[in-house]
Amino acid sequence: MKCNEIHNHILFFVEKQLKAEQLQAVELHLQTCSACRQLAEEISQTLDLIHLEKNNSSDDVFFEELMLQQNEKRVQSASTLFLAKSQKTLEVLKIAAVISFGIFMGVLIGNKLQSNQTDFAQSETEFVQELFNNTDLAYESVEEYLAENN
Amino acid sequence: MNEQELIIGIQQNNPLAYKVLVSKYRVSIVNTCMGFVHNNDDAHDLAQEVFLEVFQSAEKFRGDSKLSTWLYRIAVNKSLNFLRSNKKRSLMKSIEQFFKSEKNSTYEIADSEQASAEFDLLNSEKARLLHQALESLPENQRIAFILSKYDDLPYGKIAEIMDVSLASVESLLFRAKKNLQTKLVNFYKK
Ligand SMILES: [Zn+2]
Repeated sequence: MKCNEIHNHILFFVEKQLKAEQLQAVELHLQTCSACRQLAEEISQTLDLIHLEKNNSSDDVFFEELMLQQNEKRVQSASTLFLAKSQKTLEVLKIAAVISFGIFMGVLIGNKLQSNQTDFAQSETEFVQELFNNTDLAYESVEEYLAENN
Repeated sequence: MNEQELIIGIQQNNPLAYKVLVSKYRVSIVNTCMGFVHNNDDAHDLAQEVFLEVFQSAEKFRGDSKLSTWLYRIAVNKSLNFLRSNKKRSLMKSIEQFFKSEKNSTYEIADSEQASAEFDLLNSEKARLLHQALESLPENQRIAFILSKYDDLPYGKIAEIMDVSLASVESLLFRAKKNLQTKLVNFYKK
Protein backbone atom coordinates (compact mmCIF):
# COMPACT_ATOMS: atom_id res chain seq x y z
CA MET A 1 0.00 0.00 0.00
CA LYS A 2 1.05 3.56 -0.68
CA CYS A 3 0.71 6.45 1.80
CA ASN A 4 -2.49 7.71 0.11
CA GLU A 5 -4.17 4.33 0.51
CA ILE A 6 -3.08 4.16 4.13
CA HIS A 7 -4.77 7.52 4.69
CA ASN A 8 -8.05 5.90 3.66
CA HIS A 9 -7.78 3.31 6.43
CA ILE A 10 -5.78 4.99 9.13
CA LEU A 11 -8.64 6.02 11.46
CA PHE A 12 -10.12 2.53 11.20
CA PHE A 13 -6.66 1.13 11.96
CA VAL A 14 -6.47 3.32 15.07
CA GLU A 15 -9.98 2.22 16.03
CA LYS A 16 -8.98 -1.42 15.50
CA GLN A 17 -11.76 -1.92 12.97
CA LEU A 18 -9.78 -3.25 10.01
CA LYS A 19 -10.23 -6.73 8.59
CA ALA A 20 -7.22 -9.02 8.93
CA GLU A 21 -6.05 -8.54 5.38
CA GLN A 22 -6.13 -4.73 5.49
CA LEU A 23 -4.66 -4.69 8.97
CA GLN A 24 -1.66 -6.66 7.80
CA ALA A 25 -1.08 -4.33 4.86
CA VAL A 26 -1.29 -1.21 7.05
CA GLU A 27 1.03 -2.66 9.69
CA LEU A 28 3.53 -3.58 7.03
CA HIS A 29 3.48 -0.04 5.64
CA LEU A 30 3.84 1.57 9.06
CA GLN A 31 6.98 -0.47 9.73
CA THR A 32 8.73 1.39 6.94
CA CYS A 33 6.92 4.80 6.83
CA SER A 34 7.55 7.15 9.74
CA ALA A 35 5.22 9.84 8.33
CA CYS A 36 2.22 7.48 8.44
CA ARG A 37 3.29 6.22 11.87
CA GLN A 38 3.29 9.83 13.09
CA LEU A 39 -0.10 10.42 11.47
CA ALA A 40 -1.57 7.35 13.17
CA GLU A 41 -0.22 8.60 16.49
CA GLU A 42 -1.71 12.09 16.05
CA ILE A 43 -5.12 10.71 15.11
CA SER A 44 -5.04 8.28 18.01
CA GLN A 45 -4.22 11.11 20.46
CA THR A 46 -6.98 13.26 19.01
CA LEU A 47 -9.63 10.55 19.41
CA ASP A 48 -8.35 9.76 22.91
CA LEU A 49 -9.41 13.25 23.96
CA ILE A 50 -12.98 11.95 23.96
CA HIS A 51 -12.13 9.79 26.98
CA LEU A 52 -10.67 12.83 28.75
CA GLU A 53 -13.83 14.82 28.15
CA LYS A 54 -16.04 12.18 29.70
CA ASN A 55 -17.38 12.80 33.14
CA ASN A 56 -16.39 10.05 35.54
CA SER A 57 -16.65 11.90 38.84
CA SER A 58 -19.30 11.19 41.43
CA ASP A 59 -21.11 14.47 41.78
CA ASP A 60 -23.33 14.80 44.86
CA VAL A 61 -24.07 18.46 44.20
CA PHE A 62 -25.80 17.56 40.96
CA PHE A 63 -28.81 15.96 42.68
CA GLU A 64 -29.13 18.70 45.31
CA GLU A 65 -29.07 21.42 42.66
CA LEU A 66 -31.57 19.49 40.62
CA MET A 67 -33.99 19.19 43.54
CA LEU A 68 -33.71 22.92 44.23
CA GLN A 69 -34.61 23.69 40.63
CA GLN A 70 -37.40 21.14 40.68
CA ASN A 71 -38.93 22.74 43.80
CA GLU A 72 -38.61 26.20 42.27
CA LYS A 73 -40.41 25.02 39.17
CA ARG A 74 -43.17 23.43 41.21
CA VAL A 75 -43.70 26.60 43.26
CA GLN A 76 -43.77 28.59 40.03
CA SER A 77 -46.27 26.33 38.35
CA ALA A 78 -48.40 26.18 41.52
CA SER A 79 -48.53 29.98 41.74
CA THR A 80 -49.41 30.34 38.06
CA LEU A 81 -52.12 27.74 38.57
CA PHE A 82 -53.42 29.68 41.60
CA LEU A 83 -53.37 32.92 39.59
CA ALA A 84 -55.20 31.32 36.70
CA LYS A 85 -57.79 29.86 39.09
CA SER A 86 -58.37 33.13 40.96
CA GLN A 87 -58.72 34.94 37.66
CA LYS A 88 -61.32 32.43 36.60
CA THR A 89 -63.16 32.85 39.90
CA LEU A 90 -63.10 36.62 39.43
CA GLU A 91 -64.63 36.22 35.95
CA VAL A 92 -67.41 34.03 37.33
CA LEU A 93 -68.11 36.51 40.13
CA LYS A 94 -68.28 39.37 37.62
CA ILE A 95 -70.77 37.49 35.46
CA ALA A 96 -72.81 36.55 38.53
CA ALA A 97 -72.88 40.19 39.64
CA VAL A 98 -74.06 41.35 36.21
CA ILE A 99 -76.79 38.69 36.10
CA SER A 100 -78.04 39.44 39.61
CA PHE A 101 -78.04 43.14 38.89
CA GLY A 102 -80.01 42.43 35.73
CA ILE A 103 -82.55 40.32 37.60
CA PHE A 104 -82.82 42.90 40.35
CA MET A 105 -83.44 45.69 37.86
CA GLY A 106 -85.87 43.55 35.88
CA VAL A 107 -87.89 42.77 38.98
CA LEU A 108 -87.73 46.37 40.07
CA ILE A 109 -89.07 47.67 36.75
CA GLY A 110 -91.68 44.88 36.50
CA ASN A 111 -92.94 45.62 39.97
CA LYS A 112 -93.08 49.30 39.30
CA LEU A 113 -95.22 48.79 36.21
CA GLN A 114 -97.63 46.53 38.07
CA SER A 115 -97.88 48.94 40.92
CA ASN A 116 -100.49 51.74 40.73
CA GLN A 117 -98.77 53.72 43.36
CA THR A 118 -97.32 56.97 42.12
CA ASP A 119 -94.86 57.49 44.85
CA PHE A 120 -91.80 55.84 43.38
CA ALA A 121 -89.69 56.22 46.49
CA GLN A 122 -92.33 54.53 48.60
CA SER A 123 -92.89 51.66 46.17
CA GLU A 124 -89.17 51.11 45.97
CA THR A 125 -88.84 50.94 49.73
CA GLU A 126 -91.73 48.52 49.88
CA PHE A 127 -90.29 46.40 47.15
CA VAL A 128 -86.91 46.19 48.82
CA GLN A 129 -88.57 45.26 52.08
CA GLU A 130 -90.71 42.68 50.32
CA LEU A 131 -87.66 41.27 48.63
CA PHE A 132 -85.85 40.80 51.89
CA ASN A 133 -88.90 39.42 53.64
CA ASN A 134 -89.53 36.93 50.88
CA THR A 135 -87.72 33.93 52.26
CA ASP A 136 -88.89 31.68 49.41
CA LEU A 137 -86.58 33.51 47.07
CA ALA A 138 -83.56 31.95 48.66
CA TYR A 139 -84.71 28.47 47.72
CA GLU A 140 -85.79 29.26 44.17
CA SER A 141 -83.64 28.76 41.14
CA VAL A 142 -83.29 31.64 38.71
CA GLU A 143 -85.31 29.79 36.07
CA GLU A 144 -88.21 29.15 38.45
CA TYR A 145 -88.14 32.71 39.61
CA LEU A 146 -88.21 34.07 36.09
CA ALA A 147 -90.99 31.64 35.08
CA GLU A 148 -93.10 32.78 37.99
CA ASN A 149 -92.58 36.41 37.19
CA ASN A 150 -93.44 36.08 33.49
CA MET B 1 -36.58 -0.67 41.91
CA ASN B 2 -37.32 -1.95 38.39
CA GLU B 3 -38.08 0.32 35.45
CA GLN B 4 -41.85 0.18 35.91
CA GLU B 5 -41.57 1.05 39.60
CA LEU B 6 -39.12 3.80 38.74
CA ILE B 7 -41.52 5.36 36.23
CA ILE B 8 -44.44 5.19 38.65
CA GLY B 9 -42.25 6.67 41.39
CA ILE B 10 -41.27 9.60 39.19
CA GLN B 11 -44.88 10.14 38.13
CA GLN B 12 -45.80 10.36 41.83
CA ASN B 13 -42.97 12.83 42.55
CA ASN B 14 -41.25 10.32 44.80
CA PRO B 15 -37.83 11.77 45.80
CA LEU B 16 -36.33 8.29 46.10
CA ALA B 17 -37.30 7.53 42.49
CA TYR B 18 -35.75 10.84 41.43
CA LYS B 19 -32.55 9.90 43.18
CA VAL B 20 -32.43 6.41 41.67
CA LEU B 21 -32.97 7.78 38.17
CA VAL B 22 -30.30 10.46 38.54
CA SER B 23 -27.68 8.17 40.05
CA LYS B 24 -28.35 5.65 37.30
CA TYR B 25 -28.16 8.01 34.33
CA ARG B 26 -26.38 11.23 35.39
CA VAL B 27 -22.95 10.30 34.03
CA SER B 28 -24.35 9.01 30.73
CA ILE B 29 -26.52 12.08 30.16
CA VAL B 30 -23.71 14.49 31.06
CA ASN B 31 -21.47 12.61 28.61
CA THR B 32 -24.06 12.82 25.83
CA CYS B 33 -24.36 16.58 26.33
CA MET B 34 -20.57 16.89 26.57
CA GLY B 35 -20.26 15.23 23.16
CA PHE B 36 -22.16 18.15 21.69
CA VAL B 37 -21.06 21.15 23.77
CA HIS B 38 -17.52 20.18 24.96
CA ASN B 39 -17.78 22.27 28.07
CA ASN B 40 -18.29 20.94 31.61
CA ASP B 41 -20.56 23.74 32.86
CA ASP B 42 -22.84 23.71 29.83
CA ALA B 43 -23.03 19.90 29.85
CA HIS B 44 -23.91 19.97 33.56
CA ASP B 45 -26.65 22.59 33.04
CA LEU B 46 -28.08 20.75 30.04
CA ALA B 47 -28.15 17.45 31.94
CA GLN B 48 -30.06 19.18 34.75
CA GLU B 49 -32.58 20.43 32.20
CA VAL B 50 -32.94 16.90 30.83
CA PHE B 51 -33.84 15.48 34.24
CA LEU B 52 -36.16 18.39 35.03
CA GLU B 53 -38.04 17.75 31.80
CA VAL B 54 -38.34 14.07 32.66
CA PHE B 55 -39.71 14.91 36.12
CA GLN B 56 -42.18 17.46 34.73
CA SER B 57 -43.48 15.38 31.87
CA ALA B 58 -43.28 11.91 33.40
CA GLU B 59 -47.10 11.75 33.36
CA LYS B 60 -47.01 11.82 29.57
CA PHE B 61 -44.55 8.92 29.40
CA ARG B 62 -46.48 6.06 27.82
CA GLY B 63 -43.82 3.41 27.97
CA ASP B 64 -43.65 2.89 24.18
CA SER B 65 -39.88 3.11 24.60
CA LYS B 66 -37.54 2.55 27.48
CA LEU B 67 -36.99 5.29 30.03
CA SER B 68 -33.31 5.48 29.10
CA THR B 69 -34.17 5.88 25.41
CA TRP B 70 -36.43 8.77 26.32
CA LEU B 71 -33.69 10.36 28.45
CA TYR B 72 -31.09 10.13 25.67
CA ARG B 73 -33.52 11.59 23.14
CA ILE B 74 -34.21 14.58 25.36
CA ALA B 75 -30.45 15.02 25.93
CA VAL B 76 -29.74 15.00 22.17
CA ASN B 77 -32.57 17.46 21.43
CA LYS B 78 -31.64 19.84 24.22
CA SER B 79 -27.97 19.81 23.20
CA LEU B 80 -28.78 20.50 19.55
CA ASN B 81 -31.15 23.33 20.51
CA PHE B 82 -28.49 24.76 22.80
CA LEU B 83 -25.95 24.78 19.97
CA ARG B 84 -28.42 26.39 17.57
CA SER B 85 -29.24 29.23 19.96
CA ASN B 86 -25.55 29.56 20.80
CA LYS B 87 -24.72 29.94 17.14
CA LYS B 88 -27.15 32.82 16.84
CA ARG B 89 -25.69 34.39 19.97
CA SER B 90 -22.08 34.05 18.79
CA LEU B 91 -23.04 35.53 15.44
CA MET B 92 -24.45 38.55 17.25
CA LYS B 93 -21.31 38.71 19.38
CA SER B 94 -19.01 38.65 16.37
CA ILE B 95 -21.05 41.43 14.77
CA GLU B 96 -20.69 43.43 17.99
CA GLN B 97 -16.98 42.72 18.11
CA PHE B 98 -16.59 43.86 14.54
CA PHE B 99 -17.61 47.35 15.66
CA LYS B 100 -15.35 47.33 18.72
CA SER B 101 -11.74 48.48 18.70
CA GLU B 102 -9.07 46.04 17.56
CA LYS B 103 -7.24 46.14 20.86
CA ASN B 104 -10.37 45.31 22.76
CA SER B 105 -11.25 42.29 20.63
CA THR B 106 -7.81 40.66 20.81
CA TYR B 107 -7.98 40.99 24.57
CA GLU B 108 -11.38 39.28 24.65
CA ILE B 109 -10.24 36.38 22.47
CA ALA B 110 -7.20 35.77 24.69
CA ASP B 111 -9.46 35.91 27.72
CA SER B 112 -12.01 33.40 26.43
CA GLU B 113 -9.26 31.03 25.36
CA GLN B 114 -7.87 31.07 28.84
CA ALA B 115 -11.30 30.39 30.31
CA SER B 116 -11.97 27.35 28.13
CA ALA B 117 -8.53 25.85 28.61
CA GLU B 118 -9.56 22.52 30.07
CA PHE B 119 -6.80 20.66 28.33
CA ASP B 120 -3.10 21.37 28.30
CA LEU B 121 -1.53 23.38 25.50
CA LEU B 122 -0.60 20.42 23.34
CA ASN B 123 -4.10 19.01 23.56
CA SER B 124 -6.00 22.23 23.07
CA GLU B 125 -5.12 22.38 19.38
CA LYS B 126 -6.12 18.73 19.00
CA ALA B 127 -9.29 19.33 21.01
CA ARG B 128 -10.29 22.23 18.80
CA LEU B 129 -9.64 20.12 15.73
CA LEU B 130 -11.73 17.26 17.11
CA HIS B 131 -14.61 19.57 18.01
CA GLN B 132 -14.54 21.29 14.64
CA ALA B 133 -14.44 17.95 12.85
CA LEU B 134 -17.40 16.66 14.89
CA GLU B 135 -19.36 19.84 14.29
CA SER B 136 -18.81 19.56 10.54
CA LEU B 137 -20.52 16.14 10.44
CA PRO B 138 -24.09 15.89 9.14
CA GLU B 139 -26.44 15.86 12.15
CA ASN B 140 -27.41 12.18 12.07
CA GLN B 141 -23.79 11.05 11.71
CA ARG B 142 -22.81 13.28 14.60
CA ILE B 143 -25.58 11.99 16.87
CA ALA B 144 -24.68 8.37 16.11
CA PHE B 145 -20.97 9.02 16.65
CA ILE B 146 -21.49 10.83 19.97
CA LEU B 147 -23.82 8.14 21.33
CA SER B 148 -21.28 5.53 20.29
CA LYS B 149 -18.07 7.22 21.47
CA TYR B 150 -19.13 9.45 24.37
CA ASP B 151 -21.70 7.03 25.79
CA ASP B 152 -20.26 3.72 24.56
CA LEU B 153 -23.77 2.63 23.61
CA PRO B 154 -24.23 -0.51 21.51
CA TYR B 155 -25.54 -0.11 17.96
CA GLY B 156 -28.92 -1.55 18.94
CA LYS B 157 -29.47 1.10 21.59
CA ILE B 158 -28.38 3.88 19.22
CA ALA B 159 -30.86 2.54 16.64
CA GLU B 160 -33.63 2.68 19.28
CA ILE B 161 -32.76 6.24 20.35
CA MET B 162 -32.51 7.52 16.79
CA ASP B 163 -35.49 5.44 15.66
CA VAL B 164 -33.60 3.96 12.70
CA SER B 165 -32.54 0.44 11.71
CA LEU B 166 -29.39 -1.27 12.92
CA ALA B 167 -27.99 -1.15 9.37
CA SER B 168 -28.59 2.62 9.28
CA VAL B 169 -26.59 3.07 12.49
CA GLU B 170 -23.71 1.02 11.05
CA SER B 171 -23.78 3.11 7.89
CA LEU B 172 -24.01 6.41 9.81
CA LEU B 173 -21.05 5.48 12.00
CA PHE B 174 -18.99 4.32 9.04
CA ARG B 175 -19.63 7.55 7.17
CA ALA B 176 -18.98 9.64 10.29
CA LYS B 177 -15.57 7.98 10.72
CA LYS B 178 -14.74 8.37 7.03
CA ASN B 179 -15.54 12.08 7.26
CA LEU B 180 -13.55 12.52 10.45
CA GLN B 181 -10.66 10.63 8.90
CA THR B 182 -10.56 12.99 5.92
CA LYS B 183 -10.56 16.04 8.21
CA LEU B 184 -7.87 14.71 10.53
CA VAL B 185 -5.61 13.38 7.77
CA ASN B 186 -5.82 16.68 5.90
CA PHE B 187 -4.87 18.53 9.03
CA TYR B 188 -2.00 16.31 10.20
CA LYS B 189 -0.41 14.99 7.02
CA LYS B 190 2.95 16.51 6.24
ZN1 LIG C 1 3.24 6.28 4.47
